[in-house]
Amino acid sequence: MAPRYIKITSNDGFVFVVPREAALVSETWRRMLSSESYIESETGELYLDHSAEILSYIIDYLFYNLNYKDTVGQTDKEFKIPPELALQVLVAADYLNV
Amino acid sequence: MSGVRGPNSALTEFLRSQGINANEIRVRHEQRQRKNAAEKESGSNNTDEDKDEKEEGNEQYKKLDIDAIADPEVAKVAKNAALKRLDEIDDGSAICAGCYNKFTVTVYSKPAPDLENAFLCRFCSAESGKLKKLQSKPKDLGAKKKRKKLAADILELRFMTSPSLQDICIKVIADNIDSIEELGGITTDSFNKISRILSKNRRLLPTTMQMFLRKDVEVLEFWDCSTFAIENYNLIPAMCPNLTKLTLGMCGQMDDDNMHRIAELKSLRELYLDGPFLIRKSAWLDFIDLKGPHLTSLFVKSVYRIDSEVLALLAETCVNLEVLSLERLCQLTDPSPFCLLGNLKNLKHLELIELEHEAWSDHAIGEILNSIGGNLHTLVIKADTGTLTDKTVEYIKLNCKSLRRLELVNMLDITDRSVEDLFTYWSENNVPGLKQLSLDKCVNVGTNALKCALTHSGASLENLNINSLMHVSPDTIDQLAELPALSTLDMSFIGAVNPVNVYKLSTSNSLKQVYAFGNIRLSGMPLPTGVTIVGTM
Repeated sequence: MAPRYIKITSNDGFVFVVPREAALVSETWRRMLSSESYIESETGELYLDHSAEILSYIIDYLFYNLNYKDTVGQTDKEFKIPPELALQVLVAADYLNV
Repeated sequence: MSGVRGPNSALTEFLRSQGINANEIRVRHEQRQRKNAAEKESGSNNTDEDKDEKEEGNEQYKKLDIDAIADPEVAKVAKNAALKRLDEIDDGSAICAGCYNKFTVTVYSKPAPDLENAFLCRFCSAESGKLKKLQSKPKDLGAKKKRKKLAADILELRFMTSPSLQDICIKVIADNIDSIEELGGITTDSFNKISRILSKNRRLLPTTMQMFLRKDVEVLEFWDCSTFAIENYNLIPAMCPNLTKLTLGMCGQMDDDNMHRIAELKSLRELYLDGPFLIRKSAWLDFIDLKGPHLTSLFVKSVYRIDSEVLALLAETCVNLEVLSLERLCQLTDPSPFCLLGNLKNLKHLELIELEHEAWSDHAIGEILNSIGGNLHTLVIKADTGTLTDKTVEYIKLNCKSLRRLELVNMLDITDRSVEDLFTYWSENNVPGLKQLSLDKCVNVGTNALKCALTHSGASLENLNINSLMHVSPDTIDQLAELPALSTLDMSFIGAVNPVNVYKLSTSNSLKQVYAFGNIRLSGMPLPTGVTIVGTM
């Protein structure tokens, strides 16, 4: 039975709990959670080698994507990232394929 | 009182000229306050006196305030009486349906919104106008803005509603590029995306370009080098010795020395140069001599100094070329050197775009295709009007049997018949189907040719451009909806395309984008969902 909530841990020890569908937005996590050969699909626990600050932006984006993926045209609500974090978030986003 | 006055403020002067005296105002104010205080003490006294004073000025339009009448019975009677009077319009005067006062009806009087044969006096109509404006204006503006934005988004192909987080980050980085000192730890893909956005916004400057120069970079794309000076170009080979692929767009200031240094890059395999018009013929010859055998891909655009000698050397030396694109080479006004391209035995991708009018000839194309046509996966010919004819199509038919992408653009002289022959012949000889087909502006090609093309390549076709093929019939376009792999279609400037076609196309499972510029019958039609239509008004 696949867990309904996923625990995501940052490299400085903060834990975020998100619904499964939010974690599935990330292609990388989706594969981890849906393939049986990964232990993550059983335990529902993920680890991201970035700080909690970066991870919180990633999780914000997962929900942003869930909210707006079906609307036509561009949304008025822009997703904001502070410029000083943009590079780090980009690296994380690249790994997660979001 | 003496006539001598001291200095006054403008306000005092103005008030005095209007006969207003501050003292009088103060006295009146005090009196009123005293009176109010007295009233409060004595309970509720009528304040009608004040009211009358105020309304004396516009007695003519004095409001008969029915709503203010406290007794419901009295109010009802008054209202009924007023409404009765509404009908009796004599000598041009009437009772206003808003305030139940008598007024003169003019051509400008507005009809009452909910009553027949009733009008509003000028005060009430002004009020209702204001109300209407308040209610309607912001809403309209919002809707208009939204519609405009949606149209702009579609035109710019921004359908992805939630952009990927990577794109958002890249945009933020590109916006703040001036305050970044170094780019590190990101993949080549993101790296070049940032460079592309900077180029698009024309913000790739000598200062910012240095951020992209790192020792380990293998692929470098600078699509807008217009701000680079000679020394900037020299930095590229100096700081990125491991480059395998280099793209320099709009590199107008690049000179011979730069070209020599680029030739010294040991692992360079792919080169794209757009507009390096300062590079002399000798530098081109040196470069091809030194680098030619190593190159696998070469794009050269908008150059004046490449002549037949350079092209001959290229055809002789660059034996490993797989991709070659020649575009706008103005000094080549003779087709004969192009025949030599047949020497490039490894060539898989050939583009000849907008060459000089005199440089085109069926014979030269035939020479090339007779020799290497069988290897080609991609053939793009963007010719000039009145140059290439059906013979070229014949050469393609007989030689190019492994093509996946065929683009014949702007060839007004090829006929429906020849293209029909081409695809019929390919069908009979089991030539594999095309993935991309463009007959852009080959206006004499029509329905029969397109039908044969669909029979041959229909199953594999992903990308179809039939821009300006005015002889294509609407039912042929309906057939396009049944193609299993088609994802992009350009059917602009075909007068016969009608809304029914578009609805048919929208039922297709694979189709994602349809370009429909200049299709007059589609203007104003509601757009179906499921497929993005670009270009309708």
